[in-house]
Amino acid sequence: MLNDNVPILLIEDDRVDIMTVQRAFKKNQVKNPLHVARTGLEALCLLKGDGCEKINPPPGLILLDLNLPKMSGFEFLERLRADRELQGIRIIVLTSSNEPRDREAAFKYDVDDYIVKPHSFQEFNRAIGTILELWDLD
Amino acid sequence: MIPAVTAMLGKWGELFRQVFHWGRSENKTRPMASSGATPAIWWGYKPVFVVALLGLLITIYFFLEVSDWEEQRVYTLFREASQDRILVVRREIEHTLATIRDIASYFEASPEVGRREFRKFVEPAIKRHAGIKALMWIPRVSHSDRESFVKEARRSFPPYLIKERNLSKEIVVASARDEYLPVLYVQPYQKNRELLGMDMALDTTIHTLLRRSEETGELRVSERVVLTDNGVEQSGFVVAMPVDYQELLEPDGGRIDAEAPGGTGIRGFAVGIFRIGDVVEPALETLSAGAVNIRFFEEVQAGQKVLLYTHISRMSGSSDLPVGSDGEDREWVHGQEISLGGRYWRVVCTPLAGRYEADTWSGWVVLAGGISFTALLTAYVATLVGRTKKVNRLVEVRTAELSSAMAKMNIEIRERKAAELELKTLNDDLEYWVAIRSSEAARRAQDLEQFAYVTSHDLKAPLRAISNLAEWIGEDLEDKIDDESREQLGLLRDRVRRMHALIEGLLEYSRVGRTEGSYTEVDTKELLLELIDTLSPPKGFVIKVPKVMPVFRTDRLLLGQVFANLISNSLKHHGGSRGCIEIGCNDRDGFYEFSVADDGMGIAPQYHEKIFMIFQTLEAKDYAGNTGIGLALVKKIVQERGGKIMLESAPGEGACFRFTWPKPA
Repeated sequence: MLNDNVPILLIEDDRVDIMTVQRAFKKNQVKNPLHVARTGLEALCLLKGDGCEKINPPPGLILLDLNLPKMSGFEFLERLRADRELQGIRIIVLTSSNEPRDREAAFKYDVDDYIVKPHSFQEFNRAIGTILELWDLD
Repeated sequence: MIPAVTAMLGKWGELFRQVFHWGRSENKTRPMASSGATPAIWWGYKPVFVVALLGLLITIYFFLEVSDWEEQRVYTLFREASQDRILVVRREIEHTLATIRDIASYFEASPEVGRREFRKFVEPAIKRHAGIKALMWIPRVSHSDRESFVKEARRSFPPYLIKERNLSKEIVVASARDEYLPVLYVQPYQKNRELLGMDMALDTTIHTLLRRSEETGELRVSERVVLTDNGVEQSGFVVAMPVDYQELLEPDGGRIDAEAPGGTGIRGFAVGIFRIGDVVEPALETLSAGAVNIRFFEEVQAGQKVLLYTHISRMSGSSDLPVGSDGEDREWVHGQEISLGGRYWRVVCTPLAGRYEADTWSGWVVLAGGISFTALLTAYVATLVGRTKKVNRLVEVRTAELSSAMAKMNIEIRERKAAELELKTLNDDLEYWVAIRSSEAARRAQDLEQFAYVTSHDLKAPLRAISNLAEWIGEDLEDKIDDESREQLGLLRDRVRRMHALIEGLLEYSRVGRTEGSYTEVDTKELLLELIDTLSPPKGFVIKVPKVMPVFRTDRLLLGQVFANLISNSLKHHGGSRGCIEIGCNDRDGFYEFSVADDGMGIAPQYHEKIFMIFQTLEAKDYAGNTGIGLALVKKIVQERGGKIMLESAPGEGACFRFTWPKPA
């Protein structure tokens, strides 16, 4: 079961999608603190504390959208994997792209899962529940 | 060659040379034989004429030579035969004359020769020589000695008298004269008894002969005399040899009757009368018969000849000599002079008619052969010349053809080069345009890809948001809104879901051909079972898969998509609650033909094409999950693979989709 204290970082620019995640967390009674970054750069800032408050303790899971302004999800993954300080964070790609090439590209960065955003909240809810249930964030 | 011909022909050669020069100058004025002028054409056959002329001349020359040679050969034969005969005759005549000489010698050696001695002496000669008519001893008797002479003669022959013929040709006792030349001995006596005692001084011929022999002291031969033997006249001649008084010494050394009466030294004459024929014929008989006639002439005066005797060849039946002809007008004559006793005989040999004729056939053979050979050679040369001319003409024609062909070829080469250049330019242009188009196409494909990508994210996100928001509104206001609003919220979410499906379908559609498929070994049976499991057909539906399905290397994802779409299409549009879907496979050449057949309501023929068009549906748009993309996608996938898709269906009779799928190359 997921440790309640481990923060989770959601990188997402769409407000409804952020709401969807928050709502799913609430529905699934997930207690873990949920930090939200609207862009890749913001996310890096939160992770490293460069110019903004660093998430402490560091997040154990990142829910990553691929279609982001300024810095795409892949660019973010590139930076993240290249940073020695930020190793060992689990990453679940949460995207609306069903393109095989996106899927393949994501798995190259050793992501833990690739979830195509369901168009129904109920499905989404189920998916989030499954993830958090199965994944031990310790 | 020309000078030789000229030399050979002499005057003709001059003419020939003129003709030759004419021809040559003619040739110079018309150097082109191909101009077709008649003299030029004939001039081309000059070698033929030269060969023909030369051949004829040589042939005629050899013909004449051979004929002449043949004539010479025959003439030589004739001459040799003639010479042999003349030689034999001459020897025989000499032998004959020798008889007289022998008698004379005998008398010279013996002062007294008796009648018996004489007979004994001459007998062998008479036997040996058939030509002897008579052999005589004629002493010289002066009138004063007449009586003693007769007296002496009567001792051995009592009836002896000195006789003469009177004017009436009767034999009478000789009248008194100064000198007598009586025949004392004659042999053979029986045939010549008339002659015994006959005074030869009165016979003109013999007297002249005796006188001549006395004058010369040599053996002398008379002119022709006619001898009559048993009434047959024959030619004959008389030979006389004088016998002098010799100073015969007695054994005691005294002279005997040294001086003859009359003062002359002649004691008498040995005389022979000969038949020419009988002299000549036996001699010639010693030779084998030859076809030669021989005539003996005596020259009486200059240019006047008397025929003495004619020998007709034993090979001839009769005389073939024209009467009165001396034979020397004959074409062939071999004549020779024989000298005998101060007289000249001309012996003329002529060939028997029809003999010693030159065999002219060899000449004619040479002529015929030469003419034939010349004709052949001329024909050959003519053929050769003709052929050469033909070949030359052919060469000219061919050369002309070749040069024209070469010219044509050059033109063609130039044209072809120009065309090649043009083609190259066009090709370069084409390549340029293709490159531009390709890059354009690539750019467009990239654009499309970008578009599809953007679509997938940017269109879906708001939809999803709408969907979620509508759901949350429904949840949050569950107790506050009425049923109608709740239903409308449901419709909203349903349309959103439909929009989502359309977008997904479009993306999928655009992805076909855009993405490189991955080839793996595909067990189609396993693939189908997996698909059927995923599609989870409703209860009452059976999907039959053949026991044996091919296993081959292909794009698993795409083939799966085709099957999934077709099977789900059949399930969706079956129209009944129970049904059977049958999968089939035929192994064709180079591809497989798969089929998906259902027993549903079927499709009317007018829709068979329409159903494969994108967004075309045969049912209401709000029917769940029916985007109108599935069959269009199937068709696109099959066509991208180079295959074909066909539909066999009629309303109420089910539908059978067949598609071909290539085997790995």
